[in-house]
Amino acid sequence: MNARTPRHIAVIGSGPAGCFTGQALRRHWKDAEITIFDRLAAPYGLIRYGVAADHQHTKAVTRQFDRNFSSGDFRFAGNVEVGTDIDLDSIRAEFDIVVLATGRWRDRTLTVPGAHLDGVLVSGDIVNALNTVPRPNIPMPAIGQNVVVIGAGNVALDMVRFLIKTAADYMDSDVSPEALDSYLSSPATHVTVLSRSPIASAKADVAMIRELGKVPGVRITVANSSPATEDNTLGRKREAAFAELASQEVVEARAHVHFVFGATPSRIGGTQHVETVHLSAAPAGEASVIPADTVISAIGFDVNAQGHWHYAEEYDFTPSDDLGRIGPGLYRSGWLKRGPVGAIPANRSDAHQVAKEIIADFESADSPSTTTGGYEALPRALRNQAVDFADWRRIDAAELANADESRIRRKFHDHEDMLAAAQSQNP
Amino acid sequence: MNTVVLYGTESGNSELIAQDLADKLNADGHSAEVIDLQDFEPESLTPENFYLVVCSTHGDGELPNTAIEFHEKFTAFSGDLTGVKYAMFGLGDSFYEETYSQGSEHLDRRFTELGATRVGEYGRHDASSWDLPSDVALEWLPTVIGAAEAA
Repeated sequence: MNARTPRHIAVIGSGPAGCFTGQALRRHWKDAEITIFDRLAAPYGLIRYGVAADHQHTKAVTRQFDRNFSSGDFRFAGNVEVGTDIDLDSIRAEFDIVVLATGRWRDRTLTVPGAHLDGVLVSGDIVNALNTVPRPNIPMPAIGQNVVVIGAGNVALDMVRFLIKTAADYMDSDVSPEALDSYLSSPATHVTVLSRSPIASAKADVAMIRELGKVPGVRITVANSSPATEDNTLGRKREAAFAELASQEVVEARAHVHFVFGATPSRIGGTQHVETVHLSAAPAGEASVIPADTVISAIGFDVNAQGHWHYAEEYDFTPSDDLGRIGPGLYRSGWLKRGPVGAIPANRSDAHQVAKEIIADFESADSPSTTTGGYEALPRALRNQAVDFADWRRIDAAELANADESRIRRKFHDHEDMLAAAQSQNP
Repeated sequence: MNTVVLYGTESGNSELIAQDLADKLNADGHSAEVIDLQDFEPESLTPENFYLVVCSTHGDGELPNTAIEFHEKFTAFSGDLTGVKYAMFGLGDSFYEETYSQGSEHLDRRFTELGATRVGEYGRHDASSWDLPSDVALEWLPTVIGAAEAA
C-alpha cells in the first residue's frame, strides 16, 4: 500500500530551520514540490544576516542548501512577504502542508531604570549594521569610547570582538565597510563586560573566548565572583580560557577590555545620555559605578516581541519543545517553535523532529488525494515579483564581484538594488 | 565487500557526505548502506563489512551530539575487533586550530584499541576551506576502497 503523499509543501522562512525542515521532508517525499518563501531577495536568514561577518566558516553550512536549491529539491521564492504580499490563508489553500519558520529576531531589551537613555543600544542593531541587513537598512549606531557590554554569551563576545578589532582583522569577511568605517573612525578604548553569572555558568563557548586572544593590541583583565566546582569540567575550561586571555602580555594596548563576572547592573545613570552604569552586586574590589558613554545589551532575543508572526496572529507562538502542529496542515519549526535558543545544529534536530511529526500526521490522515495547485496556482503578479534561485545567484555573483580587496563579499544595502541585480543579464 | 557508512553529525554535513559516499559505491556496483551512529550498536561490528566512519567535530574538539551515545557504548564495549577494517573521514574547522578535526579521532582511537585496522589515509574536510565536503570525500573514497580491497 502506498502511503499518502503531499504534492505541495510551503516553508515560510529560508533560515536554518526552514531549510533543514525542507531537507528532511524532501528525503522522505521524493515527489513533493517544496517551495521556500522569504521576505528578502536573499536566502538563509540568520546564517547570512545573524552569524557574525568574521565567522564565514559558520556560514559554510549554506553549501548544503545551495545544493538543495540548485538540484531542484526546493524552489526559492524570495521577495515574498507573507502577511503583506499574500496572506497565510491564500498560501494554505494551495499547499498541503505549510511550515512557519520565520524565527524570532528582536533583541530582549534591558529593563533597569535608565534603559531608555540615549547611548543604550541593543546588540542586534550593531549585528544588523555589520551584516548589512536590508529592508530597511539601518546604519551603525553611534558608539563612544567607554562602552559597557551587558551579557556574556556568544553574541556578547561577538560584540567584544567587534569593539576591539581593527579593519585588518576582517580579512576574508563580508563585513559592511560603511558600518565598520563609521565605528573605527573613533573606536572604543575601554570596554567593560558585565555578566550576572560567574564564569562557571556563563554561556560563552570556549572557542569564542580563545578567539579574543587572537586580536593583537588589546589588554584583557577578568574579575570573577566564584570559581567553578571541581566537577564542572566545562566551567573550568572556560575559566582557563579567560585566565589565558588575562595572562597575555600587551605593550601599549590600544584598548582595555575588563570582564566582570557576578555583576548585577541595577541602574543606568545620566540625564539625556548614558553616563554611568551602577551595580548592586559585584565581585570584591570591583567598582560599583562604571563611567560609560555607551551601553550595549546582548541578553538574548525577545520571545514575545511584536512582528515575529504578524501574518498569523490568531495562533499561539509560546515556545514549546513539544509538537510543531498549530493547525490542520500548519506547523512551526526552529526558533518560532522552541523559542530563540540554540544555534544552527539545534535547529537541525528540531527540524527533523517536526518533519517526523508532519510525515506521521499526513500519512495517517484519511482523505485519499490532494487537490492543491501549489506555487503555480498563486497569483501571477506574486510569482512575477518573486526572486528565484537563479535570480539569487545573480545577486550573489554581483556581491562577490563588488568585494573590496581582502574581503570576500560586499552585500547590497538596499533591497531594491538586490532586485535590480537579480534582473541583470550579465552576472 | 559490503560497506557500511556510519555518520555522526551536528549540522548535517556528515550525513550528506555519508549519503553521497554510499550512492557512489552503489552506482559503481558495490553494495553500501548508510547508518546514523544514533541507530548503531558496537555489537554489530563484524569483519564481514568494511566501515567508513564520517564524523564532525563539535565545541572544544568533542564529538557531535548525535555520536556521543554511541561513543559511550563503544567505550564500554569490550569485544575483539581483530579483522574489522575501517576508514575515517573527519570534519572540522581549522579556524579553531587547537582542536581542529578532533571529534572523529575519539572514535578512531577506540576502533584501534579494540583491534580494528584502519586502512588508507585519514580523510579530512575543513569548513574554513569552503571546499564542498562531498567533493573532498568522493576524491578520498577510491583510495580507501583500494586499500581495503588490498588489505
